[in-house]
Amino acid sequence: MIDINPIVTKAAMSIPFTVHEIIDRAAFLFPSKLFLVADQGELTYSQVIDLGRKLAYKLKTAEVGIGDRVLVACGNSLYVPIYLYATSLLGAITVPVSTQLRGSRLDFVLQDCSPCLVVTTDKYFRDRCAKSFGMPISYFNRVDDFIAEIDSIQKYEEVCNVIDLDLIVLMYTSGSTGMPKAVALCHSNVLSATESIARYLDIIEQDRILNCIPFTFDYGFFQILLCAIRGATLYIRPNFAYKEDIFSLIDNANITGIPFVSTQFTSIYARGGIGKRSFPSVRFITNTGSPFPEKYFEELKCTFPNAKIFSMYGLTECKRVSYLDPEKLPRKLSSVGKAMPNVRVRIIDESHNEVGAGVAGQLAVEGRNVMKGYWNNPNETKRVIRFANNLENPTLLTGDYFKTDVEGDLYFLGRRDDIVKICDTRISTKDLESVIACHEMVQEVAVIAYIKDMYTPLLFAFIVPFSDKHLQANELRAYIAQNVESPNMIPARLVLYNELPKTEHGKIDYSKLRKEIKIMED
Amino acid sequence: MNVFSKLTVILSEFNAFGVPIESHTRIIDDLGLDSLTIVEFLTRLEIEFHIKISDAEIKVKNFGTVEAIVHYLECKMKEAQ
Repeated sequence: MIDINPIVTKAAMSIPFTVHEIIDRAAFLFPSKLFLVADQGELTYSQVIDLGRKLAYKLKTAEVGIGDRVLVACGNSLYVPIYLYATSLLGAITVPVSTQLRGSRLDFVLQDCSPCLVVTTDKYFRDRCAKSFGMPISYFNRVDDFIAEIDSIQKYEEVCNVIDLDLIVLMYTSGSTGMPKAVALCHSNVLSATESIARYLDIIEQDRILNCIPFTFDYGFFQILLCAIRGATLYIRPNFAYKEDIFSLIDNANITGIPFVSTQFTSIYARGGIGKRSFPSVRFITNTGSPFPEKYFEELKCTFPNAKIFSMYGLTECKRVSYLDPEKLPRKLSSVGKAMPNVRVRIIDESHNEVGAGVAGQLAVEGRNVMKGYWNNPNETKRVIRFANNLENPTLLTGDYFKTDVEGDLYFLGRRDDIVKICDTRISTKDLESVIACHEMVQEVAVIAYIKDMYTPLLFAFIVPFSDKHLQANELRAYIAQNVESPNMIPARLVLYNELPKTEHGKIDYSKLRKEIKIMED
Repeated sequence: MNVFSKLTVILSEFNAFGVPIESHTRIIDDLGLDSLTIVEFLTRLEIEFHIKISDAEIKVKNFGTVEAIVHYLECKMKEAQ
């Protein structure tokens, strides 16, 4: 291995500007520390920068340079962080996408970001890309072969002229309406968000974080950076499907932190739960993407007895916005707290004036984490970012409606479409969803306010009961009636489903449900 | 119907992308099951094969590929006899 110290010393002593600099710094401070542990093997920080610099040399000879896109469809594997490091060195852009991307969405993404290289570990994905477009494809079957090939390169790429305003990643959002949009984040966006999150989660060098969230979802992707910025270790799992494997890993590796999405909580406690089993090594768990599942709060405290539980809110356009102080969670289960460090939020009305506590309005976000814009989509960028071109701070209009309580903690009310007025009662469909979700037989729920013609909205509740339970619609209706503030909040239609349609990131696909309502009602 | 064919029929309901189901097919990466649908799938296996699957058995070793599941089911059914 070549002596990397002279390369990284400077970076280690300074505040990092770029993604590769945070990994360089960790390699300088903790050279033999494990950075990545996956099924396919494990790598220390120095090994990652050694491989990454050689890979960068290889990519440069293939003419990958500043601003070029490298599409990475490698699942949750060691390839993603190594390619991220290498593209960062070259000023190129990583585009993580799911290996399951196909059909018109795949064509759209390939056309939209026009990558100069596709990297994949999935032979079906390789074949699908090869059919549609002529760009070069690197296909790797085994990590060992990849590492051996890269390791045999005896040359390093030096850092080219990368600045922190250069883009580093395009994250395609699931786009539950129409085709996906790519959120374009520069180094400075990514580093600011990473530092803020690492501060409030209090991540330290000794942490061992277990990631089962896809790297194609910003929540999973940022776990790589959260570890690198503090010199912690990332345990990578491809998914959360095999519970017992995950639990053994938490025990054997003494995992200290786990990011969750709410469907994973459901999967832990489905089929009768996990009994008295507990994981004392875990010191924090986090939830974002959809509301914190209140009904599992007590069980989570038993399963992770030493863990602080962070309920958080964010959107890919600025990565993360807020988190609730874990001390407050027991009395504020549905709150997502306050803005994270280096972020300012305001709740505004239609004329962009700030509203007071308790009043619903749109959440506006200022901070260095706010994206540069949507890739190839200046009109949409202009619509969601105000003041991009004058002395005021660029402000992201999230399109999400919130209110605050007297302590200033935020409560999510829904998207603009989710708040409706029925007979003078303002109803948040998200509030109603959380009421219904608390019913013990309900596994999943989606509520939609459907406005037909010019009449009063009709509330539809789509419900998935646990498969071993026999839920009666009239029983559920009575339960809802007892638990809502106004009879206007009782859904007009309760529809029992075996499963709800999902977007590729596993979120409920509301646009599909709206289409189904249209068919039912017309 | 043998175990493999019966399993293929059940899996075809979960096969969102219409990928060919062969013995080396991975149920998560290839068929697209996730942490929730696998729970539903396991419940179906319990009903169709008259077995009980404990949480401690939910591992890649038992349910990673079609081949692994066939092997697991055959062992389970032998145990039950």
